Formats: sequence, structure tokens, C-alpha cells
Amino acid sequence: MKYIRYCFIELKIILFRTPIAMFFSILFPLFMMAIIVGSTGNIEIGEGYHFIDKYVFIALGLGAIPTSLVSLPISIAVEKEIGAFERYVLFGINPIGIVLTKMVAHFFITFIQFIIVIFFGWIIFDLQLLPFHYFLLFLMHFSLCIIVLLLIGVLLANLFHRVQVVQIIGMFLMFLLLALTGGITDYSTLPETIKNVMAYVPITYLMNDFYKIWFLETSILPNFLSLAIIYIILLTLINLFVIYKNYKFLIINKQKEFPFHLVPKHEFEQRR
Amino acid sequence: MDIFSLENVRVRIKDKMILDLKNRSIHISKGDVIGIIGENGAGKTTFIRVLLDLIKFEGKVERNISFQSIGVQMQKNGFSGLIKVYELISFICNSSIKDKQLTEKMRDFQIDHLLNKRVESLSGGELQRLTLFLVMYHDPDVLIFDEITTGLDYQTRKSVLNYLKKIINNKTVLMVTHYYEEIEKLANKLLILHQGRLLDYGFIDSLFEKYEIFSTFTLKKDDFSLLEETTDKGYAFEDKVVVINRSKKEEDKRLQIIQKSNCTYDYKKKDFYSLYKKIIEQKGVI
Repeated sequence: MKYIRYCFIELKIILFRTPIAMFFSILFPLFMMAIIVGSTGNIEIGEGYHFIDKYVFIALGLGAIPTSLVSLPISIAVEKEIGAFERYVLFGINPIGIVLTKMVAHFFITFIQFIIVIFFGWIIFDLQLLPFHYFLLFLMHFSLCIIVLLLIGVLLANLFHRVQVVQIIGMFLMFLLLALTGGITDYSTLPETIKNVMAYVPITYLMNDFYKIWFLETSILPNFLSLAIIYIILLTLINLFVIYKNYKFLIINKQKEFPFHLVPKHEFEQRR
Repeated sequence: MDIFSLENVRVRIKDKMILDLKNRSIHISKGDVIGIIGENGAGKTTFIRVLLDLIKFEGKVERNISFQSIGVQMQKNGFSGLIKVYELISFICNSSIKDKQLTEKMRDFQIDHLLNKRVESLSGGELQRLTLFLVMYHDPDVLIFDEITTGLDYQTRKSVLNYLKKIINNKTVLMVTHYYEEIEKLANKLLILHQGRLLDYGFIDSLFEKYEIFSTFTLKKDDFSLLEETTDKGYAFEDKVVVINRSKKEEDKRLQIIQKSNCTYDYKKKDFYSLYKKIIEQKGVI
């Protein structure tokens, strides 16, 4: 229950008390979608689909990447730097629970982005929607992709302890991923070698292959699914190891407990 | 069985020895109220961090207690400034803010009027009271306080200490402080650190006995000459001189002289600062 409470607090802080986080998490992908599709024109790309039907995945990536690689690790790193993280742990709150709760809160943020982007794409640019079971499959793929990104964000905060370092590395990774996955330039124009390397990065599939589910060409992307599962397992293990290493005494609940109940209670004055 | 026991503990940061308890063992038992004293850089906070496994160390530390039974309050208690007090309380206490028991306890700690404030807008005293409330909420068996009154004004310090006196009954307490008078009435054991080394550790009464401190007189510098016959030295403290009496006999003899001369003086039965000074002097670590 306490982690649900903490999750709501985190959401309130991101959405209502941190304007810059709110801008990058919610408004930025929407602005980009409006600017790019508005300026290029929502041209037809064949089979009744329009530019928005492909660009919507770029917009989703533009929201998910900063949220996962910048906002989440900074949120953990700030709490570590000011001592809040350690303070919570000293109150008996499990550090893994804190990190997981922050991940869940940021996961919700990406879903709020998702709903807003899809809704405005549909209202303003006539984005085509898909049948319900395809929509669920799309959500499953999208969720896995977000989980991978969030785990990378957690890893950044686990490996580096200073907010500025986390911020710089997070932003470097963000721009690198945006540039190499088609967020800034057209992915098809990138050199073959880069495309071969990027085939091992799950976010590439969100920006360039998820449309196949949206366009009802396929219901699953096996390459993406296997890659995402490998990433999730590896990143989870590394993150757990680092957290455990840093806070092992505080994580282990069942230590040899001193039998306090067997010792007779005595007033303070008698002890001296 | 000890709650904590440490043997040969050493902490090194970038080849600099921060805490060196080589060939020393420290046992902390149930019911101990331990004052941890020493100057800045003595290794007091490092000692606490070793106990809590929050810092890398060499040596052996045995902890016969789960972390859930320990309440820790540090000098600086970092909280996200954007969080509101009621949110923090409901999260840490895992309870609705409207819970009757919680409301009563908040009133006891005088934090009930702060609920809608953001943590960043709290004063130092309010933040310490809030943290103390959160530390005490689950009624832990062991309490660790690290310089919790440093930086507080006199009134707030007094009120925090009054809370402590009320709550430490039947608890094991470790209290790091710069203010010796804070632990004079609380502690039953003293752990004295100096530049990362353990100078001594033991029951207060036996330490006073061991270092032959029965009582102290504090006199004006000019009046010290009165006692020069009976003592070869005193130590300067601000604009005064403190003379240590090793026995009742010595105390009586000097008291007679002081009273005859009609000069003003302060008398203290067991002065922690004098004990600290004497230990430092005897160990030759000045």
C-alpha cells in the first residue's frame, strides 16, 4: 500500500510540481507531432494511410526516450544526492521498492503521453485506429519497449551518483538514440552498418516497425519480443545486483534478531 | 548476545584512514545509551555508517538485529523539497493521514499544523521534529541519533532534547554529539574518538574512575593562582581555567581555599569535557 501511495505522490510531483518534467513528458511529443506533421503536410503514404499514421510512432518515441533516460534517472539521482533515497531506506523502505515505484510512475507518464498523442493524432490529423485485439498487442509491445528504456534509466542512476553526470549521460544517450532510430532523420537514409547495430536496440522497433501492428500487417514482432525479453532480464539482474550491493544490510529483512522480549525492561535511571 | 559487535574495523577512503579500530573490539548491548563524542573529523558519523553498513569497511561487524528495529536520525535528513508533509507522513507511516492514532502522535510532536506545507519550506527545527516523529512512529528498539541538534537554536534544541528524554526509556540509543551536556544526563556509556582512532569505550562511571576525575572547579584565569599550591595544572576553557579534582579529599582541600578567598567558581560533579580532555592528554594525541 505504501508504494501505491508513493507512486501517486511521484505522479503528482512530476505532473503538477515540476513544470520542466511535465513539458518534456507530456507536451514535447505533442508539439513535435503538430510541428512536423503540420509543416510537412499530412500526405497520403499509400493504402489509405497518411503521414501521421507513421509519424505517431516517432512522436511516441520522442516522449518515451526523455521520460525514461532523462526524467527517471534524474529523479532517482536527485534523491540520492540530497540524501532522500538513503533517508527513505533508513526509514525501512525497501530501496528496490522505491526504484520500482519510480519506474511505475514514469511508466504511467508514458501511458498518459501515449493516450494524449493518439487522441490528438486522431482528432486533429485523422489518425487511423486499429481493432481492439491488435490494439492490445500493440500495447504489449509498447509496454515492453518502455520497460527496457526505464531499466536503462534506472541503470544510469545506479551507476552514476552525481545528478549532473546522470543528466549529461542521459541526454547524450537520448540524442544518440533519437538520431540513430529515426527520431531526427529518416531511418532508411542511415548507413547499413548503423542500421545493423541498431537492430539490437529495442527502441528502433518502436520508431520503425511498430507501425506493422498498427497497419495490421502482423500481430507480433518476434525479433523485438525476444530482444526486449533478453534486455529486461539482463538489465533487471544488473540493477538488482547494484542496489543489493549498495544497501545489502538494509534490504535483508530477516537478520538474527536480538531477543528483546527476553530482556527485562527497566527504567532509564537504573541503567547507569 | 550483543546487538552490535565490531572487531578490527577500519575505513579507508582513497588511501586515507577515516576510522581505525584495529585491535579493538566494541560491543553494544541491549539497554546501552552510548554517547559518541569527538571533534570534527573524529570518525563519529563514519562509525554510525559502519554499523548500518552504509560504507565500505575492513574488519568484522556483527549485527543481531534487523534494520526494521532500528530508528536512525541524521543531522541532515534529505527529503525531496517538493513533497508535502502529509504525503511524506502517509508514505513513511503507511497510514491514512486521518488515522486517529497518527493524528494524536502528530500533535505530540507539534507537527500537525505543518501538514500542507512543502518540506522545502520547513525550518530546521520543524524538519528535525518531523524526522524524529517519523523515526519514532514504528517504535524501534534501537535508536541512532547523529548530531541531531547541530544548527538548531537554543529553544528548538531544548525541545528536541526534551522529546528524546521522554522517548528513550527501555531503548538502546547511540547518540553522536558535539554538545557534551546533551549526553551527560542521558548516556551510560561513552565512546570517544579522535582523528579516526578509538581513545576509549566503556561505562561512564568506570571511565571517570579510570581517568581519576571526581569533580571539577571552573575559575576565572586570575583566580587560578589560588590553587597553584594544590595543583600543577588546569586547562583553559574560554576565558576560564578548569581544575580537575581526582578525589573527594582533593575536592575538599581546594574548596576550602576557594571559599576562603571568596572568589566565584563553578562546580561540576562529572564533567564530560574534562574527561575528554584528560583522555586526550593521557593518550598523548593533542
